[in-house]
Amino acid sequence: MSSHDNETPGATHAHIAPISTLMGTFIALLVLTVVTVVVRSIDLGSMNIMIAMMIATIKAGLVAAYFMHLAYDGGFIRVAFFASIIFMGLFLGFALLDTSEYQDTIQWHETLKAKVPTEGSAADHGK
Amino acid sequence: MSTTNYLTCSKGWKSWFLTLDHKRIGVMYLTAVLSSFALGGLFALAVRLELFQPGQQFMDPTTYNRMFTLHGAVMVFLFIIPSIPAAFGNFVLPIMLGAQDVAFPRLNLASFYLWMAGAVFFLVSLLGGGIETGWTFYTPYSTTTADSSVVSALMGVFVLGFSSIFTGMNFIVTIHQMRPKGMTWFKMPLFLWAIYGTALIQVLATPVLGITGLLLIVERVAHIGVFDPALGGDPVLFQHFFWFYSHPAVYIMILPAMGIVSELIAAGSRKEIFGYRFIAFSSIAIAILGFLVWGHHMFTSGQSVAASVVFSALTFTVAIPSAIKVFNWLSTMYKGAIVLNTPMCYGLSFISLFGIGGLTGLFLGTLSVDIHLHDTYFIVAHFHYVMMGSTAVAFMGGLHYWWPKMFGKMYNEALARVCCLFVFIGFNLTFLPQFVLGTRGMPRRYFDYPERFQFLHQLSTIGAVMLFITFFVMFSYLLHSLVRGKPAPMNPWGANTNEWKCSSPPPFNNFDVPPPMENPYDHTNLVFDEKLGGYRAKQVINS
Amino acid sequence: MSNNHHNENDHGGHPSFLAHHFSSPQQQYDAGKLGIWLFLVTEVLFFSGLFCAYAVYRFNHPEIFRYAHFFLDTTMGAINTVVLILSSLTIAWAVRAVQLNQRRLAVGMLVVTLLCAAAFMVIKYIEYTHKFHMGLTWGESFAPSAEALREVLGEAHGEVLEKPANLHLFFSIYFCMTGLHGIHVLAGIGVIIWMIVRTARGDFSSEYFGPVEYTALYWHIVDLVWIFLFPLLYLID
Repeated sequence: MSSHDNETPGATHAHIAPISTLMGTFIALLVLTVVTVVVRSIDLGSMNIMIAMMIATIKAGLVAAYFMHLAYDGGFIRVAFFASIIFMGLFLGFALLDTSEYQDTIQWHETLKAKVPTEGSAADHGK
Repeated sequence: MSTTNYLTCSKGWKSWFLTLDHKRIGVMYLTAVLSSFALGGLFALAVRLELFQPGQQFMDPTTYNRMFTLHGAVMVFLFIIPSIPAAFGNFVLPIMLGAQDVAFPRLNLASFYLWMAGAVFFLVSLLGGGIETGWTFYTPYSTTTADSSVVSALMGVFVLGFSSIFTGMNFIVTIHQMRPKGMTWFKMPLFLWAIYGTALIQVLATPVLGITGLLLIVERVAHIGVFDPALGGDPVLFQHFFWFYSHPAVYIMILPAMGIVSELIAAGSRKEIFGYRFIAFSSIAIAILGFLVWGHHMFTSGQSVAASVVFSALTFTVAIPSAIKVFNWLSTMYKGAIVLNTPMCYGLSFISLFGIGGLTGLFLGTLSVDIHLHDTYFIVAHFHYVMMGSTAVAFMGGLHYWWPKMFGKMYNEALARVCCLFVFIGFNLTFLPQFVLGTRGMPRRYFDYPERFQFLHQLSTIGAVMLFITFFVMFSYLLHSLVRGKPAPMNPWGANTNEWKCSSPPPFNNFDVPPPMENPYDHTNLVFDEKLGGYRAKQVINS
Repeated sequence: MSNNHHNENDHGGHPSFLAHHFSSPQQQYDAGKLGIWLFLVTEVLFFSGLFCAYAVYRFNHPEIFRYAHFFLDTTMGAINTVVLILSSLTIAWAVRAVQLNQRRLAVGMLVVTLLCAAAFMVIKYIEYTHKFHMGLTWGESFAPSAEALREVLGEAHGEVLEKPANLHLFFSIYFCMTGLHGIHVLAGIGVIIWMIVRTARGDFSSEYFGPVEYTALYWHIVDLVWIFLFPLLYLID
């Protein structure tokens, strides 16, 4: 099925990616890879990780949209894919919220351990 | 329609073990989950008998720990999670839609064999000395302290997770893509809405169980330290991993049960279901809200106050869609012509037991109360009211409801109703005393207890024995019906969903021509026919 | 999906690739596509566990990651990124070729994809053996050799960093993430070989190309995961 015009009953309709789109996506991905490596050497403090993740997300978006045809396949597939990302965010978000809240308890415990000399493996692994 | 049905259309072991027919896979799953139910039940009975008196009766504390762990693990992973979706869902989903099969029959069979592989891993673990970590595998106990075959049990959990994922994927695709013309979303029976919600959870949550199991295996074998505090790891993080799956898994267990009950109540009330769309959407709401509450298992685990408050608040929202369902079932029965057949009895049993199970859940969701009740028998009683009193009772209801359709035989109705009553009494006798035990401070999973708890423990054990005997009688009359049962009519309960529009048992292809897609809960056109012993359409008289 | 176990109702006139329970090739294709996408959803959530562990430890112990990343070879990681991006292009092109009945082109593109996948694994192998050699392994077995430490401090351009506690956690996470990703690449290699065989013997055409597209979708998600792993593991600063 080379075009959408000949609608034979046995045929399957699906988007065919033009070569220009494929090559364009490929080149964009290569450029972004170079950018992310170069940006790394510029020290922007905590912004570095943000920028790196933003570039990675753009790259992932390009792969999903054009290589995986998500730009053309709408409907439930798109909902499902975004749902997976949302639930992943939920998982990471709650875990981060909680673990970062009780770090001071761990610190406090570590200092206690440092004050009271303990024997054996616990001390070795502690610090 | 041909005279052969799916049971008789081909013979030989290969026609069963290599079958791609959703009905045969459903029957194989049914056999498998009922066997695990029996096995898990035996472990439970051993635990209860050991607790009949304080002190050691007939097993030492380590064996006792292994018994309750195996009871939990077998019941959760081998029985409840696959029970309703994989056995009944497989059997009725395509027929209810009017389709010929699920979307991926081979994946369906693969899912069954993954279940078998998981069961084998569990057996290996049992023979290798059992596990004593509790079904939750909390670290660092499961990674360093426990001296038993944890790895093979975890392999079992991993493989069973994939079995569950395959079932869920299959059902979502089937419901999206395999509905015949005329079967719109809002003509689907409510059981399918529930199965759909369940499948969403299976697909979105179970992979996290897979990675948790893998990490735990690697942790135990190679000591990577991610969950091990001795190596700088975070054991509370493990609980986040575990409950991100295992709380939604509670809804994998209860949602299909709610779906069955919608069918049972509608058919038994001889009335159109009340609030169809509310029940349908509440299934999806439960599926989504179920993801937001996992932290309520960790109120006393060292979870931060901030997270606990958020999780506690979110926990209460789950009560809303659950209550919507219960109120709609009650409204369905209101002014209905209630027929107290066996399935309906189980439906009523479900509503009262789920009421208790659900409401006690609110006590536990309250932070201050949970600090007091956490890890006591109150929790044990609460989740048994939900898992067993609700899910297992609905499973039994579904079993009695679809049994005539699956095997074409009627069981002894009077005996079945008596058994339903005894399940109800035996269950309450087992678990009501546990609420009291819990509030008085009896911790869960303890091998021994002070004298003053003895009376309540003995009531509980008597209830457990009663349940055991009742289930034995139930399986006996069900098996007996296969040989001696009266042939089942096409529609013994007068339901209007599509599975009652093909013969009992259904033919291989379900339907040569898809049935007319009507309102699945419109019972006005069905009349009881003494000669058939079941219901038939009214028009036949006129024509 | 062949219909091999029942003999009634042979759907005469249906193409051989159409399974009996589907009413049209379009339904079969759409069902398969939704199925593979749901599988990809499970893959995302499967990896999310590892990303979660990474995020939690990186957020709470940034010093471990700052120190440990000097042990990783950015060049190797960058080469692997380019290799995987190239393989993503070629497999997407293979799908296009199958859709247009260009069988030889499709086989060629799939073979290039396979070679890229193999190259990725070879580079990964070199990296792994280098790490094992230096004692840079996971958890309890973590014991960096003097040579490894010298190499790191040299690369840090005189920047003196105190060795943080629990440095091994980074390598535990590194090996879990890249290891699980590597297993997915190996699985992909297996499926791509199967697709090459099936394409070469002419199973696919413009009317039936689902399996190639599903394989490609899987391969893209393997690439997607790596796109995130690369900055997270190799580009920490």
